[in-house]
Amino acid sequence: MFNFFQRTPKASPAILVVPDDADQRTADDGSAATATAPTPSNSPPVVSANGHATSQAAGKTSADYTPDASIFGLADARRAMALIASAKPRALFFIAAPRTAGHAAAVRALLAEQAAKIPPGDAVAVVSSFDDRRPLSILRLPGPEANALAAGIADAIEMLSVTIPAAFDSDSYKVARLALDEELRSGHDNAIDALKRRASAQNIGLLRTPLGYAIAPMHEGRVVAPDVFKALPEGLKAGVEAKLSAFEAELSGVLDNRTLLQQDYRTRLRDLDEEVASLAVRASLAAVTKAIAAREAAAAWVDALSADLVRNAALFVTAARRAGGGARAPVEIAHDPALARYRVQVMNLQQSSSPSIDDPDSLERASLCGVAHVPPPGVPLTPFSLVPGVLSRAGGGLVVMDARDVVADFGAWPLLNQVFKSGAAQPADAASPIARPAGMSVPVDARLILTGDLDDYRAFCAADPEGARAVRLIEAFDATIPMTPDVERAFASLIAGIVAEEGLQPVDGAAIAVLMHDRTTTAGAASLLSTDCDIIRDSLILANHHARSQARVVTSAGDIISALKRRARQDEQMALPGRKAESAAP
Amino acid sequence: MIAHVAEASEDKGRVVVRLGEFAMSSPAAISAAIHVATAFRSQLEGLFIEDPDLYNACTHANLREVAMTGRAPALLSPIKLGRDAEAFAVAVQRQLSNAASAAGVRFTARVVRETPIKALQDACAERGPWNIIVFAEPIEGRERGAFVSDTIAQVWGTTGYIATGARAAWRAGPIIVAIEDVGHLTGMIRAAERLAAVAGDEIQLIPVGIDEIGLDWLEGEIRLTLGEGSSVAVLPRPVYAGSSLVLHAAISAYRPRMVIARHGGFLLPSGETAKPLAGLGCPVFMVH
Repeated sequence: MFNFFQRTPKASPAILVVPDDADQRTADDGSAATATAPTPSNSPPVVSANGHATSQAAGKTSADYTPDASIFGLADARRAMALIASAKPRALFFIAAPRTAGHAAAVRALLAEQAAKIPPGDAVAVVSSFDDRRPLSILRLPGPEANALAAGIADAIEMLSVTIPAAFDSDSYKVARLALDEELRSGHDNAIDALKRRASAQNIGLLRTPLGYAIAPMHEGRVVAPDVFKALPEGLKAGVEAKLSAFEAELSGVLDNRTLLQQDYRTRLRDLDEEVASLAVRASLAAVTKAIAAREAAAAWVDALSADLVRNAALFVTAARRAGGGARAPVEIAHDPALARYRVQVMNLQQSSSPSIDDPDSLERASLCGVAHVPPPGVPLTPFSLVPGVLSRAGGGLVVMDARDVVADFGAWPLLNQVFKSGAAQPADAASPIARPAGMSVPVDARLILTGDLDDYRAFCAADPEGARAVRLIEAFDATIPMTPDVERAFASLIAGIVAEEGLQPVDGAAIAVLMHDRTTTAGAASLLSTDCDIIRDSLILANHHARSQARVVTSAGDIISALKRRARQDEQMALPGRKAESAAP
Repeated sequence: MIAHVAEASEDKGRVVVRLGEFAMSSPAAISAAIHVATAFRSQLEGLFIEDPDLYNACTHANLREVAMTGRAPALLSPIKLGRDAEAFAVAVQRQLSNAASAAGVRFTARVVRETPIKALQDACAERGPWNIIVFAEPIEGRERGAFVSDTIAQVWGTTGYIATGARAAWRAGPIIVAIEDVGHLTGMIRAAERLAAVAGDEIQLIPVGIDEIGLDWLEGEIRLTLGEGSSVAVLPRPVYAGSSLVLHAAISAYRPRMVIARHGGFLLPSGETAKPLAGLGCPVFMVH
């Protein structure tokens, strides 16, 4: 048997026995109303409450016990919650625990332990698909590789902002381009000139008009006047008109051929441009290509990126011209909307370390669904326009939400349920959650943790009985625990732990007994103890203050009683029925 | 050059802009015309020249027009030609007028029906010899290149000509003077000074030629003329490398606002004008 507290089965639970001086001390501030009862032994009695009594060794205080501020039932809770780490992604849990700050902190700590045990999964990287019908694609890569890919592509784009304009400004390109231009010009001009010369030799002139050419009879370099032409013999006129028709047909052919020449020129110019650009693109992507070679999907995407960069090299040239040929700042390149399609947006924040607990600030759909922004209609969707929401940020980790918030927001739970069922979230605009781009979804791997007490769980089940079946309940902490000698010992250690944590002066044995009595009273049965540590901590702090104000170095039972009364009055003022009942002073 | 004349009498200098033969004006050519007019405080005249042969041809009952667009040949009546030509003339004159107005340059517009060379001769004869002719349309192809050469050879009363190639750009940059002989050195530098003063541009001289010994001497003469402490830079002379295209590309790499060069020289051969203009990529101020 634990040597501090002793069971006194005959004692009334309603009677609290405190040292003689307690009455006197609490009377000092006029607030103590101390009940006394006969002690069962000659040794200084300390407490007889809820069926337990103690023959405490005289002079013992909290300083004589091993401090341990752990909440009651921590080991059991840890065992129960071990299930979380071994669960599959997108598993749903309801962690039931009393709504106290101590329990909340303990649940958070245990969830952090579980989160740390979950092996990091593949990160989600959103990239452009370079296909207008399906604007974005998803790459799944281990976190460090996804981050390296994003950084590598950003570096490459920054590099290309310099190397592509330089390549197109080089003498070699200019000369090649000039030669091509000249070939086009001379090809067309030669044909027109040749036609003009041949026509001229036959006294036919090609005259430039606003929209094309006119063909007219000429003589000695001037157009033949109509009256002169009319006066010509019919045979001669017919011959001239036949020539006019023939040259007209030939001219049409030359002009048609001009289009073909231009098409050929465009093709060859595009080939030249792609040849010049591909050198720069290959060089800038060499490191990324090598690093990603083993990842088939990512390597294929880098190939597609390379082809798109080559095809759209003019973007870099135009941007450089806009900048007047000067160097562009990295931040300017990074935020250039024209280059947004080349971004790699890694949606998970912590891929390289263990997954994190992510507690959303709000239940807004856009934030929940992994994408908090979609550009306005008409603006192309790019990885850059996506901002990871809470479900994406957590990666394969835990997303913790208060069950009351989820139940209170009618829109949130069906959406969450659907996302966790399907494993994918669609982007939603923060301003207009209804607007969603077609064909775009972001994989979600997180485990959802709802927290609350058992009442919250029941409310949650009542709100969506069917959906609640998919949620596994873990009763991490009970509001009360059976009173046992071990619990009594733990209670004394808890007091010692709180005293140590808060830097309080020692608490004597009677004070500990009063607190224990208060907790059993709150539990509603003599054989039970309330696990709410918040009140114990608060009462100890108040009592400590009370004792110090009277220049005592040990906090006594009277101080504790005074503190509990003060709390009771405060709760009455707050008019919180639950608190009032729970913290009623003995 | 026009500079000393304009300084002597503000009203005598004139920039005559030959508006295109049914080709839209090059924005670079228009900007260059405005820049020159501003530099020499001279007035601007937009000269739209109608081809009399074309109007004579229209009096033929069955004259047909073969359109560039590929449309089937259609009858071209004097009324249709007049309407199309007027619309075009108004468009190109308005483009020039707007630019002149924005720059505060005095502007007059004129339409004449005459052969182009004769029209330019007449225009320049009115107030010679202090005119600069600007070819507004991009000079592309042998025919237009030949027209520029013919104009320079046959039109008197001018001190310079400005032409632009296809895709010429008007941008902030140095005024580059291509020096091929010392005879033009002083006059070209003075013109460059006037042009550079408008926007505070740098002046850069570049010796051009094939003969290395001759170029050494030329560069020495240039430095002698400039004297010590001159703000005018002398660029490294480009390597010929067997093709004048390389020279044009080398000069265009300096991204000049305008190049001043002698027509009929090594950089701008008289028989081939369009190619160098295309290669230089900016308006070129040509002197005799």
